[in-house]
Amino acid sequence: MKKFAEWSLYEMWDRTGIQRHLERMAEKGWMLERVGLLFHYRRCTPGKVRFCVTYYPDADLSDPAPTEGEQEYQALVSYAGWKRIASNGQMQIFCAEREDVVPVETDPVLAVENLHRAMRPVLTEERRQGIGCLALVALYMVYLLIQPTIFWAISVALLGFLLFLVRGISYGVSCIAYSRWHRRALQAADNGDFLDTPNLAPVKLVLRLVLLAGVLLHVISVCTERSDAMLHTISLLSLIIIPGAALGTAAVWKLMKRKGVSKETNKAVIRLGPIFLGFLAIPLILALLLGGAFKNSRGFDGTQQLDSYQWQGERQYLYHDAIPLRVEDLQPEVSCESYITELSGMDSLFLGTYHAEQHPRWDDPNAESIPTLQYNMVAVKWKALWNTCYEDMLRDFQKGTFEPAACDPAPWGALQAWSRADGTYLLGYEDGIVLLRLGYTPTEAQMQTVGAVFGK
Amino acid sequence: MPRLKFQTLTEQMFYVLLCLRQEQCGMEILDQVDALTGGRVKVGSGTLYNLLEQFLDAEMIRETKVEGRKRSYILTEAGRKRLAEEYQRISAQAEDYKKLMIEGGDLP
Repeated sequence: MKKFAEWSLYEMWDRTGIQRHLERMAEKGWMLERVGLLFHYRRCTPGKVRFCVTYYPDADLSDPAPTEGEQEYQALVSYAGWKRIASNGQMQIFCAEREDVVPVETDPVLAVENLHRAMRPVLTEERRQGIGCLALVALYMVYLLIQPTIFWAISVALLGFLLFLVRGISYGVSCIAYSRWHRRALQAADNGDFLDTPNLAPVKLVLRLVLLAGVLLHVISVCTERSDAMLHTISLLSLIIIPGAALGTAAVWKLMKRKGVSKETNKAVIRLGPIFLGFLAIPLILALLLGGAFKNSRGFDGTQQLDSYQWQGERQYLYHDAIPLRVEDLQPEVSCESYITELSGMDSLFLGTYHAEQHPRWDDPNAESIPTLQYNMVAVKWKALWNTCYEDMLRDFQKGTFEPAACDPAPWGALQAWSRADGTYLLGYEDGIVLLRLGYTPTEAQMQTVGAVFGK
Repeated sequence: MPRLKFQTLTEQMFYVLLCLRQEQCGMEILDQVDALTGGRVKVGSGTLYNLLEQFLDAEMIRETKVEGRKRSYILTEAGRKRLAEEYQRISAQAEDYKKLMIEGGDLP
């Protein structure tokens, strides 16, 4: 027997929308079989079937089995010619093939009252979750305003922001639409009419597509990003942890219901389950850390095994990452065999932010006299972020003890250039921004070398 | 303006209470209302369930027995009184109609 399941786009309270949708599905030859996280259908002979969605307010999704009252309600409705198809929490779905069967609800006032009584706890919970999501979005926004160059480079943070934003909007739209409908439905019911519930399916579809696009971008980003091994692993884990926590909780909850565990325990599982499973990620990451998963791999050559040496009682790693600008490019006369080049940072589809460092081994007897080089680079992949990043870096640049001054960008081959007396330069190029810590005033030739590297 | 609960009984409320002059379960009420009104008044099963709950809360009916998934009810004194008041109201309306429309009387 052919089966099919779909993720319903209808709000639980949208009884008109659900009824019409189920009738359309029956006309296409799909009969509803059961309702859980998804609507499950089985193949049937296409035909006209009347559906009725009603609500039993005292039912609860966490009830291990239908209560006596709910069974009585279902028996009475069945006696009147309706066949019970499925129930999910307060929602009860019946169907009838006879045209002349008396509707389940014949008093609009009672129908609206009943729906409202059933949906009150659901909407209260949604409101609470909506406020929680929007509070998290506000926190993300603060971080976004304070640290845009970091925020836009962390793919998992962007996904979290999108997830909470979409959930917040979804809950908000649902609560507002329901409140408006309820107010108008009470007036209509007094005139003897049941006002159709508003259809939010198009809004929900758009929100889900946005979320799906976000998840796809995150997956692409995780697969292609160049970042520290630890951050990369966290990003990869996020792809498993978020859906895993949701599905794991649902599976445990379903099993507990089947075993007849009390409503209260089930409710606690649904509330605390995702948090508990989410927290499992912390010991997992700690185990990876302690197990040395990130110890000998770092930066953009994350897979390489690194040699190390001891210096002042601490293990130092001999990184040989490829960095775009080296000391020798600026000072060809310098020759040092013990140079270590280290690149770190993170990268999303929108922005990459990296730190490059070149210094001698600390145990080199001449370490103090060997020139070093440090710089931060921001690769702006989404051009709309250029000004935001530049302003953010300029703000930081202006915070130091040394007075910053705008200088001629032309010798640097840059669009914008700022300098400080401590030999630090902020250079804006078309594809990125560089904060160069030279510690000396470069010659024109050195500036051109920098321009040739970053301005290409 | 919202309907004040049971201040005026709807037709469905009236017939459900009327059926409960003697002990009945929900299924029997559905059949009786239909038979009593010749199918003119239709009471939905969900509506009936909610009405019975509300009548119980208002102590207009009381539960008499439970047999499996069948629960039976009967009118209480308060229910009988309310039903009688409704009868008086409807009778007064019918009387006024008769006076003015059938007997051709004038307004006082």
